[in-house]
Amino acid sequence: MPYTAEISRSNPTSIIFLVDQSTSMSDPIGGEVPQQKADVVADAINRLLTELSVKCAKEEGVRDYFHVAVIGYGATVGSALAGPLEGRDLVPLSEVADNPARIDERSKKVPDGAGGLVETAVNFPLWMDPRAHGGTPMNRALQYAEGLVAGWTEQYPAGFPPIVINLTDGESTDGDPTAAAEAVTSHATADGAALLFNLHVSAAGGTPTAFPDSADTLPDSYARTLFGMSSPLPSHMRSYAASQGQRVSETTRGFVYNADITTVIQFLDIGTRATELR
Amino acid sequence: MTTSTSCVYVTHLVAPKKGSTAAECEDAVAVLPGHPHDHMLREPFAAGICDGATESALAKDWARLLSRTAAEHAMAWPDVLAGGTSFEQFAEAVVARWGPWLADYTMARQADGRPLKWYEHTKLEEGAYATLLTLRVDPESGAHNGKTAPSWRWRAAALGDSCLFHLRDNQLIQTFPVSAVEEFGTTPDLFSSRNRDAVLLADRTRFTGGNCRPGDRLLLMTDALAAWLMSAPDQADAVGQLLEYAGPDDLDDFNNWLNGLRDSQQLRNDDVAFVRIDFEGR
Repeated sequence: MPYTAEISRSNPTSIIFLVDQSTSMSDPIGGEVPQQKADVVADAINRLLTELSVKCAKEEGVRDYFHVAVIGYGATVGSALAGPLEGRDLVPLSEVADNPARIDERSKKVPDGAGGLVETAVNFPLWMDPRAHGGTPMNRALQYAEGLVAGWTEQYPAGFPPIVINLTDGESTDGDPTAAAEAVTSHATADGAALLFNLHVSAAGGTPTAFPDSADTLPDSYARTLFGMSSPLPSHMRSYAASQGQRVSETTRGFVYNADITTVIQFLDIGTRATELR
Repeated sequence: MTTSTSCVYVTHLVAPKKGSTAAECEDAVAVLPGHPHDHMLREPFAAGICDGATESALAKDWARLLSRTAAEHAMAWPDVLAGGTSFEQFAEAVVARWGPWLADYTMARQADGRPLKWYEHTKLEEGAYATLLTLRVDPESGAHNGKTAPSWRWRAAALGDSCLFHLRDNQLIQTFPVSAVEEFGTTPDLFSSRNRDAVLLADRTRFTGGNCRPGDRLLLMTDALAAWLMSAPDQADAVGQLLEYAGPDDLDDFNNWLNGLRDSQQLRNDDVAFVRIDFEGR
């Protein structure tokens, strides 16, 4: 069965984030709280890397179940990591966790263990800052990702395949990205084809949507193109999404429209999940 | 005068998943009173077996604390295995032990020049998680005087998917709490180190019991090995292998056997904790 390979330190997989840093990302996202798209995607990347690090954290450090790249595309295409990891692409997760550019403090409501919530200060590490400059070379970014995916699948031919997560407003300026997306997912390990998921941040309004199974309710052609480029969710990810109350079907895709994409980290299986009794 | 020859032997083994060290193993076992495997047990005894969740930090330490505390409570207060208030008191007591343990650990890390990192703070606020299976066995009063056939009463409590198997004539006659291999997954019910809702914990824990006679065996094991046993095409052969390789004081043999099953994709690569209880007598 595909997408069932163990993800472990000896059989790691890679996650490649593509971050749209074009000028159009300085526009506000649709919704009740106006936010720049660039802020939304930078915040998403920092939360995704935090979730991933915490998920793999053990007392001796963060385990290298994953190697991670954060590739920005705008005026240039290349690593978007700031601080000590500047200029690096695929980085073992333990190095990512130990080397944020800085750590801010934010307040967060957490369960108090007796069914309630309590506000507490939490560390909020940051690996990248918002940026909005230049065109949207999505094809070039996907080709960059394809290079990383090809190298990874050659190195780990039996492992869980790489996952590419593209965060964008969808307004590609170097042509239709569909073929470049197909080229990414044409690479495979014995466990399955590389996965491509998309987060679409848009000013077009409409209902925020996470992991839909149809493009029917999506508001514009950019959203529909990105939905079409997105891989169907593998069976175990669909099952997890369903267990969290999400409506899923065989055609559910790894696509999120103006909604929280950090859930995707919870889709990844590294062993027994730490979940509270319900 | 007739002398009873009935007794119980208890063996336990803990093996890490392939690719992990023994120190990284997150499954734990506690058996009380502690005796060597060849000790002829004639008194009541208790065991706790826990499977620490991969996704939580300090899972092995929590699994050890939880299994030991469960065995202690089962020895001191047998009604723990009947559920209700006694189990709730146990649940409150074990969660209350975690805070001081964690404070000591945090101070030791500080003193060691390795203070907790940002991701550990976040992770430890979430708590540590483990399954729990607790067992208590009592010789039936009056049944060990050499005049009547000896028997033992056992009671067990389980939260999550660590399993108990009752064998008679080496045939499975009872499995608990999981009854079908499809029930295993990556989201079993777990006992969290910060769950202060003792009523919920008691409510979700399952309780059972039974009787053993000479020749019977009780096997306690964590999920990967239990799933292998339940899904074996030839269960008699699987039981035979288990009894052959899960012998006392032979962890290397046990590990080699487990690795063979893992290599042939019969056993999921996971930590394994195992307790074997052999009931003997005439």
